[in-house]
Amino acid sequence: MKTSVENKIVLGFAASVLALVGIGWLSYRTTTHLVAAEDWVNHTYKVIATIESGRAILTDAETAQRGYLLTCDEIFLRDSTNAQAQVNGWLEKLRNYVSDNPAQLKRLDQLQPLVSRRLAILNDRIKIRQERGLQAVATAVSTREGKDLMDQIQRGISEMHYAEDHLAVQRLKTVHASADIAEIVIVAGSFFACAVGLVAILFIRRDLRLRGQSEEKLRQSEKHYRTLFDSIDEGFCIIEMIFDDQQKPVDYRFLEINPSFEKQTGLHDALGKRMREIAPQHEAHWFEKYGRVAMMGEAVRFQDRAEQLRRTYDVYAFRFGEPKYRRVAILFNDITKAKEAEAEIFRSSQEIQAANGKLQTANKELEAFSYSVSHDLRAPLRHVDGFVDLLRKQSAEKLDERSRRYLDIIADSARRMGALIDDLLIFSRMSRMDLRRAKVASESLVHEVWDAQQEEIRGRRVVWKMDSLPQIEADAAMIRQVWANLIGNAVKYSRTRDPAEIEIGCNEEKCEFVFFVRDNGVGFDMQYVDKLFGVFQRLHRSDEFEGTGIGLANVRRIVSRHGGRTWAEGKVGGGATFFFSLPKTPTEGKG
Amino acid sequence: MAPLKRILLAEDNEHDVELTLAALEEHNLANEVVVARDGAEALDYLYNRGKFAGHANGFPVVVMLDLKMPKVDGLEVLRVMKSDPYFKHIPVVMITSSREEQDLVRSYQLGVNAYVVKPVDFQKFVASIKQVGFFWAIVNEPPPGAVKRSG
Repeated sequence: MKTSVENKIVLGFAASVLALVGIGWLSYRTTTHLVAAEDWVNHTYKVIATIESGRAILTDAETAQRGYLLTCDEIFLRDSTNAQAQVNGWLEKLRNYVSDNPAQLKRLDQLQPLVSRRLAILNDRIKIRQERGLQAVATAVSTREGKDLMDQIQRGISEMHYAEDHLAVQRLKTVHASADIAEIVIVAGSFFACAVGLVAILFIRRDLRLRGQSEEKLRQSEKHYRTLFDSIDEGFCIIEMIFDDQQKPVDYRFLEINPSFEKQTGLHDALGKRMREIAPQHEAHWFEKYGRVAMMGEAVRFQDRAEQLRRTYDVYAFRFGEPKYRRVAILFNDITKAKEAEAEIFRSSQEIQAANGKLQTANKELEAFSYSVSHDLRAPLRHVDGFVDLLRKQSAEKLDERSRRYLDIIADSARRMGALIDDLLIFSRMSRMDLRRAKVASESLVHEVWDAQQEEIRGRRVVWKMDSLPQIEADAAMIRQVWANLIGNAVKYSRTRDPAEIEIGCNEEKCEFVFFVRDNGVGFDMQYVDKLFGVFQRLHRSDEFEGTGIGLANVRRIVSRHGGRTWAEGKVGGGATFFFSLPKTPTEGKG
Repeated sequence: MAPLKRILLAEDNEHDVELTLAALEEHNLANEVVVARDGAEALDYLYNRGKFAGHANGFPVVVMLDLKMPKVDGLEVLRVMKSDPYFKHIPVVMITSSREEQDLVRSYQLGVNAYVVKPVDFQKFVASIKQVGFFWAIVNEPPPGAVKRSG
């Protein structure tokens, strides 16, 4: 349960007041007790004084009587009579004072006859003096009867005095105790009241501080939200819907907008204005949508075009505040550019698809073409070669030397064209065929290729050197083609060297293997290095080194399809090195 | 009644026919060859019908097929032969210009016995045909029912 600061203040004060009232009452009571106790003490002192005054009266009466007995002076007689007259008043007064104390009353009862007797004796002695003279009195006095009686009276008075003294001591103690209690009550009570007040004040102060803190927090949080509101890139506004007589939403007014609003809408000073006033052609569906939100209270998210603002928006709208205010908060984003980009992407993807379709058609055509090249184009060449050969056999003796040379040239050309077609077909096939990756032991592959070259190097001295080569993951048939081309070239272009040196190796890099084939052959001019790997590009004439100019193009195509690179280094007359790299982790390359 | 021949050559190109026969002549096999000019004729010969109707029973020791022929192509002839219990054990050799892998694969799928690519170089062509003829018509023991060697 939470108690408000106000309640706490009331409670605190009530507690303090209650404490003070309690303490006042307690103080009053203890003080009353104290006063009563003091009254009793005073009473006791009065009683003591009264008791002692009796002793004085009796002594006076006796002293005056003694004077009369000696001198017979009437003045002593009068004094004695006066004193005796006071005795009854004294006894009366004393009885009055001790009436509440039975023990003292008892003592007084015992004392009273003694006093009466004593007075009787005094008067008796006076009578004897008056009637029989001094001698007779002296005799009567010498009986000591009077003196004994007086001693008894003195003792009785002292007893009473002593009892009252005792009482006084008791009552003083009570007074002191009461005084102490009063003191304690007052001091402790004051402390308590102070403490209650202090605690109340502390609580109230703490509450006030907490309230201050929570107010500060609230201010901070408001500031945060304000900052958010002010700094978000999205536009934000609160609108008040305007309905016509038929409860149809026809317009709205901007009650609040954030700084991004202007950037997002391009509208200046919209605050307080109506939308129709700013953009009269704003589409009706916007009003309908917001009207529905204001009426139904269901948040909506949609994308739509505002033609007059020439923008497309992504909008989130929800009812703001009580339904009766018909207010809607709108968070929106200008997505015109994104939409355009989307449309652009759609268009390009359409184009790409179309291009892809064309490409596929072209590919199919190319396939059909190479098929027919493979089959039909080679047939006439075969016939040329075949019939030239038959002709030579048929008419060998009829033909002269020149005619035979012509026939040789015809046959040779046909074969060359056959080789070109074959290489071209291989090149086309290497581009079209799917890669069938498997583990390939490079070393044994290279050995196979090398063995196939034995015919070529027969009768030549060739120094052959091969480093250990790694196992790779690749299409074995294609990689064999690569090695066959590179090693074939090395053998061919080192034909003029004795001995020819051919070195094959591999450098392991971080992500790839770099293979190379090096020879000490005729080499090439580095300024033509770019032409090496092109289709039908040759750096040597056919009569120097035969070839179709397809081999290295094939190498590049195959390596590239495996995700690798190809390059070469060479020097005219200084040999050549051909490199190709293959990634360690197989990746699909282009081509 | 047409005489039975030991070798059936199906080839639509007359120059190829001539060259092939010239090559086979080197083993004196030329006169043992019957030539069909397309796949349909080849099947007619095998099934004893059409222009080849009425020859004696029996079958060739080897059939040489060009792949690409009008009407019925070599692959179709091969398919028909290999799915007919009567002909399916006759050796069939594809002799074709095509190096296309798809042709090679399909031929072997259909059960071809050999696949020879005609080289442009005539000397090599002669060597190939000679080897094929020598092996299938001379060395190889044909299945029972095949035509016996004449002469």
